[in-house]
Amino acid sequence: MNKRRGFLKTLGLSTGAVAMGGHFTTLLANSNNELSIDENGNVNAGEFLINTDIYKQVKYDVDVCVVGAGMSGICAAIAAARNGSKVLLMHDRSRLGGNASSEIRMHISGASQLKQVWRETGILEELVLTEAVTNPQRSYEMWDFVLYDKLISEPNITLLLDTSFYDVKVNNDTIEKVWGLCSQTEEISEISAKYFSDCTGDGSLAAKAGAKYMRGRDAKSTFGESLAVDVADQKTMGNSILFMAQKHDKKMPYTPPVWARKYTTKDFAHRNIGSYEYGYWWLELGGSIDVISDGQQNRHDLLATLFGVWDYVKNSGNHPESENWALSWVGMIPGKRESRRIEGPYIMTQQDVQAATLFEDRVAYGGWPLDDHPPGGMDATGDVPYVSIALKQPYSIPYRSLFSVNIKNLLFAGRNISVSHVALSSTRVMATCSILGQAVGTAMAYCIRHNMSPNTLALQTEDLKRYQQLLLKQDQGILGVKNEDDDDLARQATIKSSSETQKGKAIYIIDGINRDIADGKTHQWQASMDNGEQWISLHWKKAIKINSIQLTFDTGLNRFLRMSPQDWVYKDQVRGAQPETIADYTIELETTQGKKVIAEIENNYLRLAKHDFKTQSIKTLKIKVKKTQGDKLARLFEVRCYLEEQA
Amino acid sequence: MSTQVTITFKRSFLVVLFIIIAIQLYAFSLPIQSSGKVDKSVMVMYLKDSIPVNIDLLYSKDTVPEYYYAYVETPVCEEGLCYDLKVHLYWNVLGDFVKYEEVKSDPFTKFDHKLFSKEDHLKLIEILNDKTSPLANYEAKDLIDKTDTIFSLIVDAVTGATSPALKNSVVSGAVYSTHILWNIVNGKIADSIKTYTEANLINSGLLETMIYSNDYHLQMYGLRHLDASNKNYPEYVLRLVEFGKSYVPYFAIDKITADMWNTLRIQKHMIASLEVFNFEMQNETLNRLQNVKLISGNTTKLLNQLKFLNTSQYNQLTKIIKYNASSLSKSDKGYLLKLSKDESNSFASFATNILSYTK
Repeated sequence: MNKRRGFLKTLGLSTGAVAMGGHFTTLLANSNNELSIDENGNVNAGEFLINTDIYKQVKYDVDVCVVGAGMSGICAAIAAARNGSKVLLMHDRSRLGGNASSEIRMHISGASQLKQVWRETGILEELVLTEAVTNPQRSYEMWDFVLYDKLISEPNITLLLDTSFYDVKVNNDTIEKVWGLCSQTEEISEISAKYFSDCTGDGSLAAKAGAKYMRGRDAKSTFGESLAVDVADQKTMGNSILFMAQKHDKKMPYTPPVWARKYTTKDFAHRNIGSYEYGYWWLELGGSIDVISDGQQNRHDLLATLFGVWDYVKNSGNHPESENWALSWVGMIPGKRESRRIEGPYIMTQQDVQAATLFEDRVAYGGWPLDDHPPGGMDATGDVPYVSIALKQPYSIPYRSLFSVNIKNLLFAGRNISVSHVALSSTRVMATCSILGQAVGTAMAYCIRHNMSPNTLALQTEDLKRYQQLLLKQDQGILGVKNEDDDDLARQATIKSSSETQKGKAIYIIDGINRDIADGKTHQWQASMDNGEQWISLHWKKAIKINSIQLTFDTGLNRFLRMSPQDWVYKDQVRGAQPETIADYTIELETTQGKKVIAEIENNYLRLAKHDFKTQSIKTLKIKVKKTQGDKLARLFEVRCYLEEQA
Repeated sequence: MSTQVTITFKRSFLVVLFIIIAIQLYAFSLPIQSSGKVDKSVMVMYLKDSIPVNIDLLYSKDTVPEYYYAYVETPVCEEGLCYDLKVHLYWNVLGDFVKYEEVKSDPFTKFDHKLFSKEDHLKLIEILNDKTSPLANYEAKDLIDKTDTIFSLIVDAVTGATSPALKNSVVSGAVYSTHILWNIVNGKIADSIKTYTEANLINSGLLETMIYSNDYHLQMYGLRHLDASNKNYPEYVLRLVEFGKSYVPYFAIDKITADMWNTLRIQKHMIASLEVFNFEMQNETLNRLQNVKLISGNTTKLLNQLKFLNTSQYNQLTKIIKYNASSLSKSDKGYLLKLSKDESNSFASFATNILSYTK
């Protein structure tokens, strides 16, 4: 150990017997070797590789451990890290994103489906905007790297890839530690943490820890849901494998493997084959078996189905235009829709979704239809593959559906939350899962900072309100919650501007609402750029001390914004920076020492901008807008000003 | 004197009675001419658990069950404006909506006592036919957008506009009427009708009627319950191959067994049908004739159907002809030779290919 510390000291990094976070220390934490250091403090390279023990244990001690780095886990980890927690994010694959990654390629769907104004914000918005701008080539693998980049850029996150969770130690209904195994690096990681988040999708951590969970389809009588089945059973929605194909400039004949299934026209009575470049969500199986433990067979059956469907496309004669098309990618990981649902103090139901119950402890929202798939899938091609009930409006999801009812320090996000089977048919989609992750990550950080259990947070009204305000500040969308943050100094300011429109008055930047909520008001300052640079300023009667300014821009939340291998999905989207967003701006403070520019930004494309600087005493601050990403109007939803604690 | 009075009284009484009966018949007459047997009240269902609805079974002229019928009267309030909804309803034997008839003296009304227009009726029919309507899973009051009110011009009442996302699922101004009608038509009554039919009425005669009907759902039901041992099996299957609605032909052709494909009758019928089949059914037929030995003369017949096929189908056709090359007649080969020499014909190269196979 001494030698190791010495080695670390040589590199100028913090020492310690255990890994504390950050990518460099992560890399080094994985080196279990006794390093031989000579008298000059240099490593004896030749002796480096001698004493390697296979599957040696590496210990981690962090604040928050997130298991699963699909969209939920990624957002949970980033949210917790940005709120000061030391996070370890464990993922059993090399590529990030789960069902959204290049390994499965399912769309990130959510409340945009309402076709109103409800695209999800927060961390997810940051991710999809970054992808839209940096990946014009629509490469799925580059999307994986957008996610990778975001995670390793967070100093508080230790990322353990290719590490499969397999065991947990629970003491007194509290998880003490979890174990994960990485075969590529031949190590077993033991992680101790204060809070654990199950973002595995299957609720594997929860199940192993003894948390209560539900599975299958609830009976009508259980929750009184009109869409539930008459008799409860263990069936679920099935899994899907997707594919991609490309057009070539000559005929591409196709011979299926001998084990592929055989389909004829009747099998597609309810299943549309509209295009060939991307597979079909209805290529689904597994609802009638155990989607977890029968997974190997399920994968094979799905491949047999996939190649059978492609054989039908290529060889039935019904799709002569597919002649030059050939498969370019086939998934090997079935994309799961449903398995375990971990039980929280509250179980959301169909009624909560349709009637949009306004929970006091609401922390996120959904908007996807109640979209249930019958368990038969491609084994029952005579049946419709889904039943979709459209919603009138978005609905809220309560915090009490996101932590375990019996394991004290276990939270969860994603499709494995505390919902009925029917409610899951809407909450399961990945945009909703992402914002649930942000809610859970923020909750864990909050609980750590204020030294309270997740359950206590749910019961204390004042803390709940502070937690909701924190979420709102970090751009989580919560229905019917306004900015009531007493620490936001902007709320006390008077607002002036170079100009404003009738619908976009300058004062709206502190009206408490930072997006269009379909109430007839814009909630944003609007100024015409036709007359050149525009500005908006905040004034305080008495000088205030600030060190942080936050701006919320317009990114066209009324549109879809998501990656897809499918061309038509881009029809209603704008790829790249959203035109409504302010691109070039400066922030100027009027300090006692004169004007000070604390930010000079070009080509901004994100929705939320946070500028931290050395504490200044000011009475005025001015935001000058020099350019938008295309829109004729400068648009600004919100400005917030804080004097934050120095870290 | 008294006799005259009595006669007058009797006559006027009869006239009045006649008028009353006429009014009753006019107002409440059974619009569909029930030409056949009627089984009254085969079921009694309850609306809102209290209003009894008697359901009759109507038979066709050939005494085959045809429709279920009920007369329903139920109060409906469109946001404070109430009226009695009266309607004659008809279902088919599987509980699918067939039609409704208003009572002429008491037609449906919307908010503000407006009558249904022709478009409203067409819309209502479309909604009632849609088993997947969201009306199954929303309360009527949940369909109203409470933030958007409409004021009545006639009475002191307001209603809300229908929520934009669900506007298409109701007749505008008649949310409650649409909702209640949909649930009467497609709710418990529909399920009970199907259950009753399956428990009491299904027999070979009814199944045959369903197969020969023009209704997709009835045809599919008949097809699904067809037994290959039934002596009429080939006839029924061919009937649905030819006259099946929507996707029925694709399910029907699937029911043609391997043995049947080897018979003269089926081969002849299916080959001849290539003329009238759509693209997909042609493909289905060509795919299933692969590796099938065509019986006397059918190879020639198939070759002559070339004119009804698309270039993209030539490959499949060629494979069948090649498999049956030995039964090509002299004139067939002459015909193929002619085709092979005609450069303007896209089948030319395929013809050459077949001929090389016959040598």
